[in-house]
Amino acid sequence: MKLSELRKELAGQGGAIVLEDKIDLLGYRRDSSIALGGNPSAAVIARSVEDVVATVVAANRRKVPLYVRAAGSTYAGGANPCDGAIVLDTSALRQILKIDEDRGLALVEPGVTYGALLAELGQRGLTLGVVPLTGAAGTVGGAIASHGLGTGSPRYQSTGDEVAGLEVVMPNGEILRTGSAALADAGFFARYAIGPDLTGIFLGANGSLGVITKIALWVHPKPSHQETFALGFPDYESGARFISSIQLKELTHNVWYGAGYEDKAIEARVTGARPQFERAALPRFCLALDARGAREEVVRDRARIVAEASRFGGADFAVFDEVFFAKLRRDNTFWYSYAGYFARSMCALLMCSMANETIPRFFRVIENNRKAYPELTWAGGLVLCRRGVHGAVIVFYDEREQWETVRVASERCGAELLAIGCVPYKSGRVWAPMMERFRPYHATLANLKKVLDPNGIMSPEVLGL
Amino acid sequence: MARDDLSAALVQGVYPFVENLYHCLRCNYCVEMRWQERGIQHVCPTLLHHNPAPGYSGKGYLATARALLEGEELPIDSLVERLFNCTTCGNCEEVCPVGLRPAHLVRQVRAAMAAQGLAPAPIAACAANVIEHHNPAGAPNEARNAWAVGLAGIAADAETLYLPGCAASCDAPDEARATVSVLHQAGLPLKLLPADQARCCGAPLGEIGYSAEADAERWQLAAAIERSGCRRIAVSGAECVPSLAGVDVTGGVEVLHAFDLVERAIAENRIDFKPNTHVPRGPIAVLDSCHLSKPSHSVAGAADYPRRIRALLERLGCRTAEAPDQGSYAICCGAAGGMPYMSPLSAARMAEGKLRSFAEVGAVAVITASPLCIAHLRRSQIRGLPEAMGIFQFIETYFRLRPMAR
Ligand SMILES: Cc1cc2nc3c(=O)[nH]c(=O)nc-3n(C[C@H](O)[C@H](O)[C@H](O)COP(=O)(O)OP(=O)(O)OC[C@H]3O[C@@H](n4cnc5c(N)ncnc54)[C@H](O)[C@@H]3O)c2cc1C
Ligand code: SF4
Ligand code: SF4
Repeated sequence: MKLSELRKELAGQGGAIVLEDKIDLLGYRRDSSIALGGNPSAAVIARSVEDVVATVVAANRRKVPLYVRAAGSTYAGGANPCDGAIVLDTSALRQILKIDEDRGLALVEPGVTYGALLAELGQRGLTLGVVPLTGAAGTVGGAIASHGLGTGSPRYQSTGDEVAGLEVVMPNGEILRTGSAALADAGFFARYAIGPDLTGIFLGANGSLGVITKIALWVHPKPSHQETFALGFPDYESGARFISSIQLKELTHNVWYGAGYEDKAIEARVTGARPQFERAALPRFCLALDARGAREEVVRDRARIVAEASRFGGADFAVFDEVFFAKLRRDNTFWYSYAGYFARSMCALLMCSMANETIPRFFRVIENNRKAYPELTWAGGLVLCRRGVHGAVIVFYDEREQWETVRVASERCGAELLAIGCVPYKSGRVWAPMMERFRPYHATLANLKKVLDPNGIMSPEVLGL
Repeated sequence: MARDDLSAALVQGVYPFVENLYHCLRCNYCVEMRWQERGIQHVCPTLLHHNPAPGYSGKGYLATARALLEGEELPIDSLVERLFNCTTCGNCEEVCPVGLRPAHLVRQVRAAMAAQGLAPAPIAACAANVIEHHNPAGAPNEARNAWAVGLAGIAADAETLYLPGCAASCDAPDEARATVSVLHQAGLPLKLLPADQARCCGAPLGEIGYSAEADAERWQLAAAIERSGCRRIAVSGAECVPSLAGVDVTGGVEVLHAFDLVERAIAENRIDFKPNTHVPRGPIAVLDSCHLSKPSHSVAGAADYPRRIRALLERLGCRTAEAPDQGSYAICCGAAGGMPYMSPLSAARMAEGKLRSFAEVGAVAVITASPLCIAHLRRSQIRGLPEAMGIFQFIETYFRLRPMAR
């Protein structure tokens, strides 16, 4: 595509910046994933919805692939363009348009970072439901378009569950507003209205069905009190049954973060910080919990959770709490910076969702892969949700020597996870080769895409589309 | 020069950072982030005020260097434009969760480029000034001590050698004068190097990629320090502290910022401050100058002077104001890394942005112990924005010091 033409077409819009310099485009080749990225032919930094519309229309007219990107920190490969594509950079669309306390929601542009939004909400004693660990730099648009999770997941589940409605620029350039905002005068206040939930098709779509340009998010009162604690279990099975039990009894209502760890991670963390600690005394599985809310509720729920743990052979695991949450307490922060987790090296991440009964098998898959690829460093962790858990397989590797190996290993591990009933959560390109497995879901999705994006310009290959 | 030779030279430049290049998670922390609890509002001044393209960022510099290392052909003009428009403030390094060093990489690649004659004209001119006149502004070196004429407190037999640094000598002489005057009131005489022996400490040259020339200046300065017979140096330039820290003088030499001397005098109960009637009523902000507040920058950064200055001001009864971005994560004012030479308008926007952020918290003045920042902020001073002052100028204006009876 001729850039001069694209520039001309975008001139007079909201001040879009068209980038063509090879050095600037280097920054758009790869996101945080291990997926291959191509060389885009141009990037457009959009400064207004008009810029987004103009870019989509221009790409459509020329049938040039278009990839949406904000901070580019997804580890699932959804933001990686193919060769010759245009990258639409939404990171400059970062206005907080409205914090509507009457409706209990914030209306934001997609490029706003969670960090910026939390700072503004915090001044009013408010906060958000689900915030990714990378929220300081990660954007709201990027998270909801790739199924975010993190702080708040035990209470609210996914970033998508916190979306009240969207404005989306469709592949043909039309602007769609979902939920109650379908009626322009009504605006955003209800996600489920009129008919089927159109919001949902853009959540986790990784830009393949349209460009999200406005997001209405529910806001919540900022919890006043916080306590962290950890529980150790003799095996994964009892840990899994315990999780199901506290979820069903809704004891996770005041839990804002919960992380589950396997034996190896427990040992590494505890003996790393306390070399003298008796290894034999370590549990096989542990769950580190961060409870927030009104003091009396937190104290009450904590006691009930600990009592529930003892029913499943679990016990308070204070040393893990000290080791795991020390950094959080030092930072006095809402989310868990991933500094320290990932500082050691590059990592490949596979994020999946699972029912609790799958937890033991999930850790066995990791153990098998540890044996199959001993040259890579494997770690596994769980993120507690309102129901079920998310599982993260983290593979540390050397980018210079092991990129190919880790890609093969990650694909193999992905296939094994599917085989035991784990389903892809953040999908992008990393799980794309396995999408065929989800017929007729995937065929329906492909049909939907054909209708909405007949030229197939939006994020081709992502989600296997 | 043939393209292949050039590429080989640049690869040599990036090679010491090869580990960094393959450990960037592309998390975007160094590009844009906000972390209220840590005082992080934004990260990169170049992206904010010069160009928002990703090629101008910590992450972008690492990606560019990796592409060079992997043999990709990159447009040289854009490479130069991008690499020389970083303030080398180091904020990207402060926020990087992996601990990568993009700002250090930038200095190294600049050195490789400068060695190939690729430094942009304004940068080359700045370097030529230091080489010829021993200061970046190109002021005649013989006038270097002009600010000290007739000033009480300078003594040829003083034990402490005062090196105001190029910025204070040439661009913020009132801070140099105030420093001598305040320390004189505190009973501490200072010695100056004769103008013809005074040299730049090399820091500005190092930041713009002229490391060999920086070393040459530093050696000449070391020789002059040696001849002075003093074994204690007090400097005003924030960038001079680390630059002189390892200076090779027989028997060693203690390098301090002049502010350290004030703190020592207070700690040893040697001075007493009396406010005069005009002490500003409005809040005073302290600038977190990068050289003085970012541990990744240097020993001076790790010493966190701004926090200590704030503590002194509060002790003296001044109200202080804090900008939203603060401490080691404060955004650069645009004074460093050759930015005012390379892109004066962008550097001025950075300064204006900085002053505006202080105006928003109601500050009436902005204090720093970095004459480089004072001079730069003053150049961009816009009516209605807080006035930039050196810490010694502030003390001299609003307080009288007396040596305490011992
Ligand atoms: C080490 C590490 C840890 C992480 N931890 C977490 C975590 O705990 N929880 C979590 O949820 N995520 C996590 N992430 C992933 C990521 O950082 C976050 O999800 C982040 O919020 C994504 O935002 P982004 O701006 O980086 O999106 P990008 O990476 O730019 O985009 C993500 C996807 O969304 C699409 N997209 C972006 N903007 C739009 C838009 N406006 N319209 C349509 N599609 C769009 C892109 O095409 C892409 O497919 C982690 C990443 C890393 C590297
Ligand atoms: S050193 Fe400063 S200006 Fe340069 S890339 Fe890092 S943050 Fe930006
Ligand atoms: S903060 Fe560090 S790891 Fe993250 S993108 Fe920047 S240089 Fe890379």
